[in-house]
Amino acid sequence: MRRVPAIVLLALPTLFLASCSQESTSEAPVDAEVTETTQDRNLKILYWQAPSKLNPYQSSGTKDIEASSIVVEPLAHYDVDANMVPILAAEIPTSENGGVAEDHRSITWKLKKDVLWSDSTPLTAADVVFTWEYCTAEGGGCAALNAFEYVEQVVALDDHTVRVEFIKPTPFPYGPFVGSASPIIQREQFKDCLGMRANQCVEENSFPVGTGPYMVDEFRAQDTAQFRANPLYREQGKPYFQTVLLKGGGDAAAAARTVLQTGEFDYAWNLQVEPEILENMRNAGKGEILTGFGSQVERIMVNQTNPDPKLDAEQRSINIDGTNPHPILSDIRVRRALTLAIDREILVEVGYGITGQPTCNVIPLPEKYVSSNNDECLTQNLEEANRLLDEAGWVLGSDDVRVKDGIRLSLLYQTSTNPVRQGAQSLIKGWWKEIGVETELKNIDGSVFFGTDAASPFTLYKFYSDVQMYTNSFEGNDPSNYVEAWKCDKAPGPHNAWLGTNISRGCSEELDALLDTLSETFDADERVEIIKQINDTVVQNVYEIPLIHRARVSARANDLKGVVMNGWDSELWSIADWYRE
Amino acid sequence: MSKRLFFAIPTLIIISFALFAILDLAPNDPTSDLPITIPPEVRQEIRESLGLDKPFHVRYFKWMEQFFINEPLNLIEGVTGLQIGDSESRLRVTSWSSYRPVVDLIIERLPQTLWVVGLSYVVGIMIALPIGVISAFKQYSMFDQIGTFISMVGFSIPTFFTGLVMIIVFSVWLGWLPSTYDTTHVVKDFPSFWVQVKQMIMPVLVLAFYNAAQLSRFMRASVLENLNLDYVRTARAKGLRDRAILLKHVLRNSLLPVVTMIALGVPTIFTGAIITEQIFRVNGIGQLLIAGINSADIPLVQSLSFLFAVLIVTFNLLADIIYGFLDPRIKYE
Repeated sequence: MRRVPAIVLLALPTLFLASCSQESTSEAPVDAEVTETTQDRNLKILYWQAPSKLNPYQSSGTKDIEASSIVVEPLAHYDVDANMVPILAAEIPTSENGGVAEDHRSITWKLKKDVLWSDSTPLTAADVVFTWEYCTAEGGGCAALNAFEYVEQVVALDDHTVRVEFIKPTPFPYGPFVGSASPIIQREQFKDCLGMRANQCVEENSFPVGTGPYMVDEFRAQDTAQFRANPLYREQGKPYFQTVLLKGGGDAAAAARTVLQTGEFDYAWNLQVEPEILENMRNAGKGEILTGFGSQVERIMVNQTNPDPKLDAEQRSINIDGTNPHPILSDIRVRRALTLAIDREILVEVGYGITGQPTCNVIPLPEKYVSSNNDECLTQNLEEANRLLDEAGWVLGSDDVRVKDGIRLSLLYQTSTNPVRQGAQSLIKGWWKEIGVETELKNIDGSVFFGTDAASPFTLYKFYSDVQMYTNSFEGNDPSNYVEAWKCDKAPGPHNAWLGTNISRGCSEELDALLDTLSETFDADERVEIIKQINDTVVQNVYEIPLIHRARVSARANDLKGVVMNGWDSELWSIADWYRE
Repeated sequence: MSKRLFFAIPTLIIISFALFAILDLAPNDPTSDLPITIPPEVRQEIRESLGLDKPFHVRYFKWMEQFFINEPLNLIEGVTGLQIGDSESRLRVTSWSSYRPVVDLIIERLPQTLWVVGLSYVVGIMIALPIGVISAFKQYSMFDQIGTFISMVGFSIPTFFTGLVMIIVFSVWLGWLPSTYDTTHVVKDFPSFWVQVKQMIMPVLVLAFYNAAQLSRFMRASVLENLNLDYVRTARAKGLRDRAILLKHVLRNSLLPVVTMIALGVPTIFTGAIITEQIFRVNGIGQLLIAGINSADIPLVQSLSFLFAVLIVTFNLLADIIYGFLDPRIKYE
C-alpha cells in the first residue's frame, strides 16, 4: 500500500496533460467534407510565410495579397508578359475603344455581366465604387492607397459600368482595381468596416466573400487557410480541385523540400535558396522549379549625401541645399569605377542560378522599356575602374587603399540580413579591394531595414551608410510612378519625416527636366522613349548600380499542371486553371 | 504563503513594464514586410492606424487596461454567457499582423502545442525516470555508460539538428512520415488517428529525447545522493532486498527534487518549443511568438511573453506548494 504515492507522483503529469489534450480535441472544428476528399481533389500549397488575413487592403505582406487572390479578384490581372487581361471587366478600356477619355482624366470600365459573389448576389458597379471608398476612408491604413492617390472619385454610371475620375490628366489610368493588390470587395460585407473600424472586422478580413474560383472555409491566422471550390464561379467546369489547403510555417529551404523531395505539397512559394541547394533538391525528380521575371532588380544605392556619423540628425545623409555632398561618392568617376569593378555573372552564378540574370538597367522589363545603352557594365573591367580612380586623383597607399587629400577610399556597405545578400556583399568587397577601395560590411535585419520608423537610424530611408543594397521593383507594368521617385525634391529628410522615395538622393537637372516632360506627355511611344532616357540617366550617373534582374521562384509537383508562373501579379492568379494529371 | 502570493503581483507588474519597454526600444517595424512598391507615405498611414504614433505611456496603459480588465471580462462572459457592461465596444488586445484578438489566436494554437510539446514532455519523463534510477543503481555499469553517453548527446545536439536529420531519414529517404504537421486534421476514426500519430511521431520524439536527456541526468544524481545516506545503510542492515530499498525508500525520497524540476518545467509546455514547432510546421504557440517577433507584432509578443511570465511565476509557487506537501519537513512561514 505504501508504494502507491510514488506511482501516483509519476502519473500526475500524465493525467494533467491527458486532461488538457482531451479538452483541446473537443475544440477542433469538425468538417467531414474536407477530410473525406480524396488526395487528388485536394490541392496543397505551402507559403512558408503564412497569410495573416485574407483582405489585401489590410495586408501586412505579399503573402496576404497572394492568398487573398484565390478568393477576391480585380478588374484585370497582369499576365506573364505584363499585358493586362480582363478578369471582372468585360474588356480592357483603351483610347481606341473609348474607355479612356481623351483628356486622360477618366477611365470607364465595363463589368462582365452575370458575375455572382459566392453568396449568390450579383457583382455590380456599386461594389467597385465601395472598394474605392473603403480604401480611401480616413484612418483605414489601406495598403493599396497609392493606387488611388490621384483618384478624385469613382462613379457608377449604371449597374455594370463604372468611371474612375482623376484629379489631373493621368497617362496610366490602370492603377486602381488592376492587379491582385487592389481587387473588388463586396459592399454588403464590408459596409460597416470603413476607416478606423477596418481592422476590427476580424470576420470580414478572414472570410471575404469573393468572385474567385475558391472560397474560404477555415482560416487560422499565420497557420492554415482552407478553401473549397466556389460553385458559382463564372467559368463552367472550373476550378478543378475540390479543396485547397494553404499551409504556412518553416523557412524557404524547408518549403522547397516538401515539394521537391518529400512530395507532401503540390506547390511552394518564394524559394530564395542558394542555387546549389535548390538544384540538389530538384534532382530528386519530384517537382520542377518555376521562375517568373518581373521588374525586380537587386541594386546598390550610392549615397549622394554625406552620411558621416559625426553630423547631427539635421545634416546626416541630407543635402537639400547642396552644401553637404558625399565626400567621396559625389565624384562620378568613383561611382563609375565601383560599377565597372563588379562581375555580375559571378554574382548570379553564386547566389541566384536560374533565378537571376545580370542587368545594367533599373527597368529590366517590360521589353519595350529596356534600354541597351548601358550594357558595357555586363563585363567586369578592373583596368578601366583603376584608371578612373587614378584620374580622379585617388592614389594607392601603402596598405593598398587609395587616399586623396587625407581621405581614405573607405565605404560602409549595408544591406538586409539574408545569406544570398551577404554572399554578394563579400564578393563585391573583394572586387572593390582590387581597385583600392576598402569596404566595411554591415547587415541589418529585414524587419528593421525595410521599416519606416522615423526614429530608427537603421532604415533604408535614413541611409546612414555610403552604399546599400536591396531589391526594388514597380507595381503593374508601367514604371511611371516608379521613375517619379528620382525627383530631386523626393529625397528623404526630416522635412518629409524621412518618407521620400529618392533613396540615393541623386539630383540632376537633366533628370528633373525629363520627369517634367514625362508628366506632360501622353503619347504612348514618346513616353516609352522618355522612360528609357530616365533609366539611362540614373544608371549613367550611377546613382544606382543595378546588379541582378531577379525572378520570383517557386516549385510545383510534377503532376500539378496548368500553373503559369507570373512575375507581375499574384502567383496564384491562374489557380482556377490548375489541375492534377 | 500569502506573503509569497503577495510578492508575485508586483513582480508581474514590473515584468510587464520591462517587456513593454524593451519591445518599444526594438527597432523593427510592422510595415517592413509589405511589398517594396508600397510607398513610404502609405506605410506611415498604416503605422498610424496601428496607434504607433501615440506616446509610450499611453500605449502601455492602454495595453494594461485591455489585458487586465477587458480580456478577463471577455473570458468571463465567454464562459458564463453573461453580459457585463458594454462588451461590444470594449477594446481587446489585438495582433497587428492579423488584427485578431491575441487571446483568440492563443486559444486556436493551444491544442497542437499541448498535444506535441505536452506529449513529448510526458514521454520524456517516462523515459528519463527509469533510465535515471537504473543508471544510478548500477553506477559505472555498461547501462550507465551508454545512458550517460546518449543523454550527453541528447543534451548537446540541438533540436534543429536532430529534427532535420529525422526529416531527411524518415521523410526524404524512407518516405514513412510527413515532415509537416497538419493542424486542421481531425481525429474521428482509426485511420485518421493513425495519420495523427504519424504526424506527431517526429516532433514528439525529437523533443522527448531532449527533455529526457536533461531529466535522466537529474534523476540519476538524485538517486545517487540518496543511495549514500544513512537510512539506506539501515535498511540494508535490516536485511531488506535491494529491490525493496530502491523502489520503496530511495525512489520516493529522490523523486522529491525531480518533481519540483518537472513542475518548474511545465510552463515550457505552454510556451511551446519554438524551434521544433518551426521545423515541423506545428504552428503552435512557439511559432506564433516567432512570427510575431518577425513581423514586429508588438501587442502579440508583449501579451505572449507576459503570459509566459505569469505561468512561470505560478508554477514556481506551485512547485513550492507541492514540495511542502510532499516533504513535511519544509514549512513556509
